[in-house]
Amino acid sequence: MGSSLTIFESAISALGTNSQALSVAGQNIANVNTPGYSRQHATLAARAPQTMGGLELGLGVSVTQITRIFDQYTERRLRDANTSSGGASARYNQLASIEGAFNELGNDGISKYMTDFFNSWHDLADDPDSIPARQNVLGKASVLIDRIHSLDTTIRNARTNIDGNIKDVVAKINTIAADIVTLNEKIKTSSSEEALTFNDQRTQKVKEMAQYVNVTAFESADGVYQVYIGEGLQLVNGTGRGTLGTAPDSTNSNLTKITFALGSGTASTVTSRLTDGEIYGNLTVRDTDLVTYQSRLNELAYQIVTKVNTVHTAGYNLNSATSKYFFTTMASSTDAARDITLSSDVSGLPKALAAADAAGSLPGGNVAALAIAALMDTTVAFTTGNNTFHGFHSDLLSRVGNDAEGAKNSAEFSQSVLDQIAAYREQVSGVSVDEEQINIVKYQAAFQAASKLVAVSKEILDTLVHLGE
Amino acid sequence: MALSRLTFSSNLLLIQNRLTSAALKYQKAAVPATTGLMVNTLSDDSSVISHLFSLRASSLRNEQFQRNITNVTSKIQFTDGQLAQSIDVLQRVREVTLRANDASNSSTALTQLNTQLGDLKTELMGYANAQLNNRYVFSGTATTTQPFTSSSGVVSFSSSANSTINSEYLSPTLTMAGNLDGNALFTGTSTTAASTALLTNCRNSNGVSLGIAAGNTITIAGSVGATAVSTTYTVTSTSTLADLASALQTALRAVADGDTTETATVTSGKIRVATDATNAITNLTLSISGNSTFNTAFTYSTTIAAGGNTADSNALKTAVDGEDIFDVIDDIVTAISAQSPTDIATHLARLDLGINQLSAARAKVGTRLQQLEAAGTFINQEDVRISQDLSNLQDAPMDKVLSDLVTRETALRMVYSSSQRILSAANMSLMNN
Repeated sequence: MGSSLTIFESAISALGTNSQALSVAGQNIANVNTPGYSRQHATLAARAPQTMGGLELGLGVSVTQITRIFDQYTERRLRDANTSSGGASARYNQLASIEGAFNELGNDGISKYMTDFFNSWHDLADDPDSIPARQNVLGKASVLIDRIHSLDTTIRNARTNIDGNIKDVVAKINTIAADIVTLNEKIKTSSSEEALTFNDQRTQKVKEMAQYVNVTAFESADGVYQVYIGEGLQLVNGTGRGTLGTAPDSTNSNLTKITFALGSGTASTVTSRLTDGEIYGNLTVRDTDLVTYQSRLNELAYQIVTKVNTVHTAGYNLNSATSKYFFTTMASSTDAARDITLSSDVSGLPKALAAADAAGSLPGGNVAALAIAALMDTTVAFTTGNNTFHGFHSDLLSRVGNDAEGAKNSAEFSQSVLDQIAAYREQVSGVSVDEEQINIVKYQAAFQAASKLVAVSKEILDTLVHLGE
Repeated sequence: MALSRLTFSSNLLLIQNRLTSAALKYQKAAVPATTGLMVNTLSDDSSVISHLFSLRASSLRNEQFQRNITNVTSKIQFTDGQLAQSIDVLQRVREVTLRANDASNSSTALTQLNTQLGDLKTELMGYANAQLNNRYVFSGTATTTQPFTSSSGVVSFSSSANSTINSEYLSPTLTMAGNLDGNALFTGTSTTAASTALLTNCRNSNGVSLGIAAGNTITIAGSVGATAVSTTYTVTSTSTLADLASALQTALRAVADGDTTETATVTSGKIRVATDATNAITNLTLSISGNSTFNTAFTYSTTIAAGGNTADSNALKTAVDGEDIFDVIDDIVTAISAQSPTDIATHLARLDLGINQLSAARAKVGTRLQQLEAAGTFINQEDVRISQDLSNLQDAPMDKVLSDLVTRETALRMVYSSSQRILSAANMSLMNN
C-alpha cells in the first residue's frame, strides 16, 4: 500500500508543474508580437521515485528546464542577411537620390546646355561681328557653367549629408554596444528564467547592430557575448567594450573617418575595416561612387575649359586683341567643376570674344568661332579613353544609372533573402498561437486532474485520520 | 523551404512581402502609363542611356546645321542676286558700247553714251558694294569696310578689304563658303590667290596676254645704287608670280651694296618692288628675248627712290580670275572718246571675259545652292531617322503599357483579397472558437 502522502505529493507537484507550464504558454502568447522573441518550452520530467516496501513509488512531475527554442545557425544567417540588406539598402537609397540630380531625361541638363553652348559658336560664325550673337555665346556659357556648378554642389552636399548619416550610425552602434554590455551583466547575475528574456533581448540587439555593420558574436562559457564588428574589432568584451568614434579626415576633404578605441586606449582609424552594413553602404557611396562621379564631372569641365581656351587664345577679338582666355585657366582637373567660370578677359565683354583667326580677317573672320563650334564633335583624350564631350558625359550618366540599377537590384535581392530567412526564423522560434492554445488546454486539463487528485488524497488522509473514531 | 510550422508572425511576414511586391510592381507599371515614356530615370534601362543621349545631341546638332544651311543659303542667294544684277549691267554696257561703235555717231551722241556708261559703272559699283544686314558681302571678312571705292573716277578694291572666304558647317565634316571673293569677281584679282598665279597666265594692265611660256628665260637687269644687277630666271609650267618675285628679290639683295633689305612682293596681283633707305633702284627691267609685250609691261622706267615702292601702274597683273570690270568700262569710255573701233573691239572682248567671269561665279553659286539643298534634305532625313530611333528607345507602347497596368492592378487586388482571407483564417484560432 502506497503512502497517501506520496499521492498528495504527486498531486501537488502536478499542480505546480502544470501551473508553470501554463505560465510558459502564457508567456509565449503574451510575446507573440515581441520582436526577436524566441518561444519558450517547458520540459517536464518525472521526479525521482521513492522506494517503499520494495516498490518504487513516483513522486510526481517537475519542470526540469525552460528552454528557448533558438537556432544559432538561423540567427547567424539572419544577422548576416540583415547586414547585407542594410548595406545594399543604404547604398541604393543614396544612389537613388543622386540619380535624380543627374537625370537629364527632361529637356535640360549638362548635355543640352553643352550643345547649346557649342551651337552658339555656330551662330557666331554665321555673324562674327554681331554683338547679340556674342552675347548669346556668353549667355549659353553662363548657363552651362551654372549647371555644372549646381551638379558639383549637389555631389558635395550629398557627401556631406552621408557624412552626417555615418556619424548617426556610429552613435547608434555605440548605444547598442552599451545595451549589449548591460544585458551581458544581467545575464551573468540573473536566474535561468530571467536569462531567457535577456538572451532574446541581447540577440535582438546584435541583430539590430548587424543592420549597421557586419557583426560576429560568440557566447563564452559564462554566458556573455563577445561581439566583433568589421574585421576583428572587438566592440563588446563581456562586460567591457570598445568605442567607435568619428574624426575629420584631412586626406578626404575633412569628411568623417571612423576610429576605434578599446576601453581607454588610443583611437585608431578603422574606416576601411568596416566592410558591410549600412555604414559600409554609406561609405561606398561617399568615397567611391560620388568620388567617381565628381572626378568625371571635373574632367569634363577641365577639358571643356582647356580645349576652348586653346582655340580662343589663338584667335582675335573685335578689339584686335589675341591671347585672351574664354574660361579662367586651370592647372588641373581638381575641383574644375566647382571652379569653372568665364574669364575676366571676356565676362560681360561681348566684343572680347575671339571669332577670327587673324587680325587681318577682322571683323567678319570666323575661323576661330568655327573651330570652337567643331570641338563638339572632336575626340578628346579622357582618362576613360578617347571620346567626345557628349560621349564622355553620356557615359557618366549611363554609369550613374547602371550603379543605381545595380544597387536597387542588390537591395531588392538582399531584402528578399532577409525576408525569407526571417520567415524561417519565425517558423523555428516564433510563437504559434494555436500551438500555445493546445498547450493551455493540455496543461489546464492536467491541472484540473491534479486538483482532483489533491481532493481525493485529502479525503484519503481525512479517512485515515478519523479511522479510530 | 518547406513550411514546418506556420506562426502568426511568419504568416504576416509572407502577406507583407507579397503585398509590397505586388504594390511596387503596380507602381512601376503606372509610371510609363502616365509619362508615355519607358525610360523615366537613368536606372530604368541604363543600357540605352548612352545611346539615348547621343541621339538627342545629334538631333540638337542637326537643328543647328539646319540653321546654318538656312543662313548660308540666304547669303548665297543674296550674293547671286547681286551677280545677276551686275551681269545685267554689263549686258547694258555692251549694248551701249555697240551703239557707240558706229562712225555715224556725233560727238554729242558719243558724250551722252559715255555718260550712260558712267551711270552704269556707278550702278555696278552699287551692286559690288551691296550689304546684307548692314554687312558688305563682297569685302571678305572686312564686313564693315566698303570694298570698292572711287578715287578720281578710278574704282579699286579697298586695301582694307580682303578676299577671305568665311565658311560654315553644314554637317560635322562638311563646310561651305557663305561669301565670294569680291576682288576676284569685279577686278579679276585676288589678294589671296594672286601669289599663286601661274606666270604663263599673266597679262598686262590692258588684259593682253604677256605670252610667257614654260622654258622662257627672263633676264633681270638694273642697278641698285651704283651697282649693276644682272641675273636670269627660267620659267617652268608651274612657275608662279610669287616665284618670279622671289627671284627678283634675291637678285636685288645679291647686289653688294652693304645691305639685304630690298623687297619684291606680290600685292593685289602685282609685283611691287621696294628699296631700302640707302640705295635707289634704277632702270629695272625684266625681259624675255623676242617678247616685246612682256618687255614693255615689265620695265620700271621710273626710278624707285631710296625707301620707296613701285607704283601700281608699273606692276605686272595676273590673269587668275579675269578682268577688272570697272577698268574695262573706263577703257571703253576712253576708246569711245578717241573714236577708236580697234580699241573698242579689244575692250568688248574684255567685257565679254568679265561677263563670263561673273557668269562662272553664278554657276558656282548655283552648284552651292544645290549642295545646300541636298545637305538640307539629308539633315531632314537624318532627323526622321533620329526621331524614329528615339521613339523606339524611349516611347512607351501604350497598348502594352495599359495592358501591363491592368494586369498588375488585377494581381494587386488578388493579393489584397487573398491576404484578407488568410488574415481571417489566422483569426480563426482556438482562442476564438
